[in-house]
Amino acid sequence: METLARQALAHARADYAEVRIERRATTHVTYVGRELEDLSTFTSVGGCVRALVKGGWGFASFNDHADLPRCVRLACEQAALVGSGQSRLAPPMPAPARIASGCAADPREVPLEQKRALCLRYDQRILAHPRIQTASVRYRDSWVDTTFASTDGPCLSQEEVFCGVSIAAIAKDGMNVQRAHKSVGDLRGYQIVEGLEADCEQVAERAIALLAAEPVRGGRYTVIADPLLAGVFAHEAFGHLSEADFVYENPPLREMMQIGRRFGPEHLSIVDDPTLPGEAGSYGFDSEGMPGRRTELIRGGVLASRLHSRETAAKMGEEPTGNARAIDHQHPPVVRMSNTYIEPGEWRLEDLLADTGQGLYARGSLGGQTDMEMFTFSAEEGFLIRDGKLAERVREVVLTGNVFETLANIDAVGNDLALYGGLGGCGKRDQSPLRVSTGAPHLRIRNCLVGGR
Amino acid sequence: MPSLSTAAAAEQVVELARRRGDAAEVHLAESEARPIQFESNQLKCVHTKCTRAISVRLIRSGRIGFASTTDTSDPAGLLDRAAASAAFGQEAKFAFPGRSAYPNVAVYDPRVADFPIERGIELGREAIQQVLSQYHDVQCYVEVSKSVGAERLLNTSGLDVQTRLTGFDSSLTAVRVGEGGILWVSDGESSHALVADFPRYAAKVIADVRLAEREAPVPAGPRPVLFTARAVGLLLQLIESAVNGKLVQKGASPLTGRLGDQVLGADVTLYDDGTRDYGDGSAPFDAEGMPAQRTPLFERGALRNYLVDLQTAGMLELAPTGNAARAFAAPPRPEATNFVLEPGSDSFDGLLAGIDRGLLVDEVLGGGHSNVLAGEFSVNVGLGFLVEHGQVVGRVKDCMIAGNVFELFHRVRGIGSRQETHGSTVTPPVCFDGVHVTGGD
Repeated sequence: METLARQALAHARADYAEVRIERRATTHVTYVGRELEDLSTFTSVGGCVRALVKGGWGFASFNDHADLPRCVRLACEQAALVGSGQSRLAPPMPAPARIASGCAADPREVPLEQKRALCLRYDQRILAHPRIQTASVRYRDSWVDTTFASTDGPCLSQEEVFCGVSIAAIAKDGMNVQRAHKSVGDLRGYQIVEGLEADCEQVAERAIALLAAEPVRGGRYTVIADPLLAGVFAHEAFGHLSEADFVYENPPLREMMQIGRRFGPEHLSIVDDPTLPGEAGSYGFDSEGMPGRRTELIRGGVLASRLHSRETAAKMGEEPTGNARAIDHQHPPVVRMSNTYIEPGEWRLEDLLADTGQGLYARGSLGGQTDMEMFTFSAEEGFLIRDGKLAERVREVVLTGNVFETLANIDAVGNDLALYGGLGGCGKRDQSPLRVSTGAPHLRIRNCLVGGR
Repeated sequence: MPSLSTAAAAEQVVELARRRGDAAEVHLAESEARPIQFESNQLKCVHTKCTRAISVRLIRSGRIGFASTTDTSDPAGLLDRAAASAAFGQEAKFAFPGRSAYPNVAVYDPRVADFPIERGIELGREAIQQVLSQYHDVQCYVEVSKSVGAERLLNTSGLDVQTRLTGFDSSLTAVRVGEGGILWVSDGESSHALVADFPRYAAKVIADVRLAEREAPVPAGPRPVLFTARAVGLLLQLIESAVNGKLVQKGASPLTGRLGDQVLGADVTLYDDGTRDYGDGSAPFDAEGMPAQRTPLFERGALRNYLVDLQTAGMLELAPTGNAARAFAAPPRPEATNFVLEPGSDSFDGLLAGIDRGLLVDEVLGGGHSNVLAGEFSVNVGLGFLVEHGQVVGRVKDCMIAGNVFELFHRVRGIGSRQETHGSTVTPPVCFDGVHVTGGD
């Protein structure tokens, strides 16, 4: 592989060029209701070439290694068509030449039948509840081996093994359909998908309980978000804004996102760190061959730094961070998060509730979206907080707000940081899902807008 | 057309399966896409993406197996993997179909195949100039992407069909950063045919930037809300999931067991139509080789059909509807083709004029993150306007709208007379009464 890549790059007519060659094998098991909907394996070979000429990028992907020389030519020609300025890249940084998967129990050594049996066990456990209409259990594992070579650095290779399962229960009463779910998934190994029987029970009970819940009344609330939902908030509301590719060539945004600007209270710090062992968003080097590193995005409420590719770092005169990631060999790298979390503070949850008096406790996540200024994030369920205690359960809890106002409205940070991976992931442009982790402790947000009736 | 090696691999798989006494189906998909991207008013990159997948579905001893790959070098290995999965796969409720008569559906436009990259770059530059000539302080993003591909489907029942297809995506987005925050406005189209009306996209973007310059208060409470054709897509997605045969079969759809019932208002007629020429979801045959068709879903509000693939049809004991679809290298599953809402009799201006105090909504943020199964939505109004006495007053921000689509389609105030195509959704604008609006202080 290495020789193949090197030889092809020798013919690149570009300021810079890189080759990624990838091999991939995945397993899917899906039960929905009583049926095994999918039990399949997928393998892929392929790669891509990216070239930079006078500041313009060309990219070509292939499935047959024999096409590599043609793709080098194509990528260089396309880059030449685009480029009219100057190529600027931050210098390459040394990364370990060979990174092995750190997973404990390798899912490739687990027979397909055993994976199926595990999913069936979870499925039946959920279906055993009389008020459950249906269940879904999705298992995924993937092995990816990447070889990276470029015209200005050493050849690198990295092996990643991801494994996870998502379980969901659906309860139904006439037109009222409610769903609860849990998803685990990261690079730790097959052992993380085992022993989730108690979670199956909880998911089923939550879905059933939601049937009786009323939709939340729309309005402004003091919201306490649990670590799962608060992590999604950190990712959506702030994380995407810290990705430099949106900012670096947009003068008014550069102005808005100046390092040193205050974004939140002093007890708020947000970090992105792909070097955490085994997390869903971890990696040794990114899709530009740059080593991952811990980056403080917000330190003490103040913008401390941002996430970069080699190009955005050079053009903004900042340190590269190793955050250029591609979901696979069909896509070029773009600036992405890895494991993004809010650092813990002092508050214990019971003190936070007691101190809040009246409000809304929002728990679990159905996802979120941002347009950089406004964001939404959806909780799986909510509880009204009355006299400092959790009161009745509510559903359809969707929070929204302006990023800057909402960050400033975080007035208490819990002491109970938790990180979550899972089968989902982050979507940006046409690349989804990218494995990431999000995390936070409990957070209190004042004056938060909640949609509803 | 599929390359020789890929075609040979596919034929070998079918032949090998036949010799082993298995029923098998092989699906081949190949495409080459050429996207061009402008970022912050500058041409940024040109790409060539070649994708290929070969998938095999097997029925052995009555059980289904599936495997897929991008690697054509080992057809026997691929078949072995499918067989391993069939050892404990789901019981098949269908047989692979033979050849049928297929409707003529245009999905190949030679103008796309011949479209030069240089022309795309020119169109992008002109559109950006058009916007900048009106608003010099916005940043434009343009995407022009063409693709040319082929699909082939063969099985042991004697089916062997193929289609050539083209695809075209074009879009223009303008971002304006100011004291008040970040404004995004965009327009674009996707189709099997060449769609690149950039002067129109630029005009829409300019008009939206202008409309958004003035901010207006949020009219909190239950209000009439006029959804533009683009925004109606949010609501139709929720209905689409409820008529998906897979969810119906699991009992997870609120429409399970309700064929014939008056589910929506009597002014609502909706169908799925895979036969529209160049429609984003069109094809002469579906991912299992069943002919494309036009399937009524709701006729004057009454539920008529669910959308099914062969396995789901078999389980529900319904006739197939030609709705099998495949994601890249994935097994078939039921999906809508083109979702079409019949036009009504109201003009857009007439619908707007009828609103005393309410909203005009063009784009939302956070769709699909609520309780989709129950038809619930609760979304931020990404681009929307306060309407008073029939006049657009200004842009609302920090505003949520919420409701249930099955309730809402009983409270239709009026349906526009002109349909627009947005991706695979074909719909006029629709105005509803009593949408819950939240926001303001």
